[in-house]
Amino acid sequence: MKIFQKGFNFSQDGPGNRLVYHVAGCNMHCLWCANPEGLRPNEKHQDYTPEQIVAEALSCRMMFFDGGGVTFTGGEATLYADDLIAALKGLKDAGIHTAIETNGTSERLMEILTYTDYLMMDFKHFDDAVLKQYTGIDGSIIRKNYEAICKSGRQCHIRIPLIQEFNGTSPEGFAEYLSGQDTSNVVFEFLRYHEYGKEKWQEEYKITNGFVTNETVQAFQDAFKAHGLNYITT
Amino acid sequence: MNKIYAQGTLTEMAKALYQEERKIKRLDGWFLAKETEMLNDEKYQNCPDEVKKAHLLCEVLKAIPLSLSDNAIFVGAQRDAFAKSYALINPSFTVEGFSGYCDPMAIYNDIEPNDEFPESRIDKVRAFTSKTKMVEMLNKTYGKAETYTKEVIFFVEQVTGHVIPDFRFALKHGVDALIEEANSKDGEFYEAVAIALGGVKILIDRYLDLIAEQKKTCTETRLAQLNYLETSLKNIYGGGANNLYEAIQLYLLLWEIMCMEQAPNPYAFSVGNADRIFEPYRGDLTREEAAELFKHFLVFYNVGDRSWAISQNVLIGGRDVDGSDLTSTMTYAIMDAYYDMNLPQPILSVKLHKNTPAKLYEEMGRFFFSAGVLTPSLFNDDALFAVLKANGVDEADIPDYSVAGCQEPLIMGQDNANTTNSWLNLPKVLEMVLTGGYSAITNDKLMDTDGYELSDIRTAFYNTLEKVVDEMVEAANGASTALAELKVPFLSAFMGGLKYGADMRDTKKQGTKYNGSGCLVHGLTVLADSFIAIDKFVEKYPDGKDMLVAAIKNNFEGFEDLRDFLLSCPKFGNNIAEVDDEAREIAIRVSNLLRSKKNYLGNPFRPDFASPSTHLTYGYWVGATPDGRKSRDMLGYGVDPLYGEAANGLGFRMLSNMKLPFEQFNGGYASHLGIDPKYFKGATYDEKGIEFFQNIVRPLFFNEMKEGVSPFYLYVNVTTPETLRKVLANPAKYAPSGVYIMRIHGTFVNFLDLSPEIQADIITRLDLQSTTLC
Repeated sequence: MKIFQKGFNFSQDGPGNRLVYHVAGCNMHCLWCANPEGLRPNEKHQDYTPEQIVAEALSCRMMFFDGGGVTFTGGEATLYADDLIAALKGLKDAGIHTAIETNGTSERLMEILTYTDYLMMDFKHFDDAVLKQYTGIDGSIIRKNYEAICKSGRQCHIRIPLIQEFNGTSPEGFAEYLSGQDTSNVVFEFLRYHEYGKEKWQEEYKITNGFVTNETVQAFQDAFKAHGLNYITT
Repeated sequence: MNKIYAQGTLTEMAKALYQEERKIKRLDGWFLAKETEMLNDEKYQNCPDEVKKAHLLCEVLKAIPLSLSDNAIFVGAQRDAFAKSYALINPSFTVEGFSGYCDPMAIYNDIEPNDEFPESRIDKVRAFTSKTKMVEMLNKTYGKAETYTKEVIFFVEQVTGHVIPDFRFALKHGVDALIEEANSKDGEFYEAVAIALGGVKILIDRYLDLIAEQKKTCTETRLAQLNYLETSLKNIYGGGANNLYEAIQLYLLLWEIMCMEQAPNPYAFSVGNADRIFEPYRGDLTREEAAELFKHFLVFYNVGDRSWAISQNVLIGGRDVDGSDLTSTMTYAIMDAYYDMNLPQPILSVKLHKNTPAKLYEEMGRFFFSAGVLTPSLFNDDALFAVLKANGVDEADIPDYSVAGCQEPLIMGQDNANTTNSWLNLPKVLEMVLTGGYSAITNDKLMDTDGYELSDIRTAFYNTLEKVVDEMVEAANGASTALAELKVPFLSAFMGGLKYGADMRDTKKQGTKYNGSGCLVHGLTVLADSFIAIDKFVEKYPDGKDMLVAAIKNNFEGFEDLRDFLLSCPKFGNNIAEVDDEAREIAIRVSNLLRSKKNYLGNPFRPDFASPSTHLTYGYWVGATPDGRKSRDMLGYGVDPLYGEAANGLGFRMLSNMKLPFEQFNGGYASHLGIDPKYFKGATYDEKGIEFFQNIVRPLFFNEMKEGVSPFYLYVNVTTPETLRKVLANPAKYAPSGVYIMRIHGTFVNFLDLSPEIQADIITRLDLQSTTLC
């Protein structure tokens, strides 16, 4: 796995204080991506074996307070399923809490989750056509994974980026689809559009109407509540 | 009060008063004080030293010019005690300007001759001072140590200021109660204390005369204010304070005299735990009302056009022995006053502990995340309590620890620690070992050293260090002994003198409960990186000693590949055990060595791993080092990694830092983080304050997984190099008030007032790569 960024953060990427690895390479091409430098691996990115990750995490144990541990995010860490599984397994064997943040497109997601204590998964859109237009990816596998996760009853933290021109007018559509499963162990979080990554884009930044109003966020919250979905704010 | 001052008036007056102070370009009061002492010297020549000093202080208090602005609600000023000699905020500061000794006569170059102070008048006082015993003794000390100090293998100085007086008894019971106690005891010291304390009455009488004069011609509104001031001065004439107004007034008068006693260099006195000192007098004043009064307290600490009296520390927060929190309404009132005034002085420090209420972190958010606003430095009480206890401080005294200067923890009113007495340059000692005692900068022979093997560099280093430290201790004690010629009976009354019966500076009889001498240790991380680089070098070039020495002497010119290799070796600050453990080992050995050395009273030296801008000035005198650092580059700041060397972000840097032996640092230490505000995404200052706690304070100070003593000091600058460059390029736009506050080691500075070299240092040391979050 190539890592394009690593560092610590508190509670933003899973419980407690966490060592976060940003794995380079992504199968989506989201027009609003905040980490475009991680879309494709390159020679500047540091290569890590699973063993190196476990060794590094062990030396960082002091920082994993409040139920913290290691989080893999991206790019898209699940693209490297073999390495990721080896690293997650090694970490769990060492008693270190594991988390992943994924776009939900991996065919092997359920296998990966065997070694994952805490799952954060994006659910960007329920409409395949719109999703494909903005990310280049068809959403069927994401839905399949979502349904499997719900069925399994495991913990899941679904993150929905709210981007006005992309999904800001569809609270009902989201709530309706997502509530079609057993969500007793699923929590939902709305991430408001931001432009922290805009300046990093080499090519033209294509989102022109991204920011959502408080009313839009409220509309999502209301719709989710009405459908019995448990949303949180972090 | 409310009847006299309409709501908001006090704040307007405080701000106007500060603007008046900024217009004062000359500080001549200290010269008048020295001249007054000279003119009255003969009059008291038959008195014992202490008594003479007390009389001279009273003469100075009779002679200094007093003024009272229409915007002042209190009387008193400390500006007449200070000369503009403190390099840091002096715009003419240069890194190469270090002169190798602390010349007590240099101060006379500070005063620019004019019609009132012609050259001849200045020369007369200069000549008088040069013949004083203190100056003679000091010159002898510096003369002996010159080869060590001229390129800063070590440095020593006589420590003025740098303690925390305890005025609480005087505020409660009045100065007369102290005089009575002094008069009840026999001896020259007590006589001197009584005379010196009498200075309070001299000053109050003179201010009362001034008020009476101003009352003749003032407006009705001002008349009511002056009447209130007059009544309060009469109340505290001999007795204690009855309310917050009187407490602040008496405190300021005591402060003024304490500083005048040490003119021209009373730097780095600390107010102490201000919220605890003043809360008992707040009565039914609200947080807002108390804050308005405290704004005038803050203005008092700003001297002249650049707020020259720097390093005066105000502390708030903290805990008691049993762990209970000691914040109060006054804590938040003081914060409000600071935030609204945003003055370059005095420094604000906040004591934290594991039970600190979230509210305090929330309220700190606005300080950390408003551009150009002062930021408090942070102390970890839980850790410091353990450090102080382990070093012999009685448990009951520990909550009273405060900070003299930037970060040195001392017990208020009980501890004379001579904090900046000696300064040790570890990488320069390594240079001496490697070059056989010759400077890699000038090639001058500076000291004798023994031969060595590169593979056994540590043994050679520590042997040489012993020799250097012995010389340093002798010189440092020489400086303290010279300073003891200048008695301080007034201050001694607030440092336990009445109990211990001796001047605070006495070298034979200890006049304070606690005493020690400080040593500021420089270049810890450069030395650790260098030892590891030497190990790697020896592995690669077992017979390469001459090559390494040649590379160092030639500043790596012609040895570029070797430098690349040395730079690629592990560096402190990246959570690499090998080099982090080395830094820990060095810190332990150096601390133990220093603590084994005795000062003039037989008390241990206290290791203080801090470098108040001296990482620049001392680095300038260190040649290239085996870690790949080039000649004359800066050293690492305090215990921090050398800038640019910790490239893996905040968590990794913290992990390295937390391996250091904080229990050893009873003299203190310095550490700084430059933080990019972009990582803090809270919608309000309060939320960002909590994020700051979660991402910075908690992992570092209150990490439940840390074994042993946790870090106990930190200051931060939350900004980016780009922002600071914009401020410099367009101050009118980014700092319309003319004040843009940054932190540089323990003190605030107005960024715009600094010399270009210090501005560059602040920007460089932000080192945001080392503090990235994810």
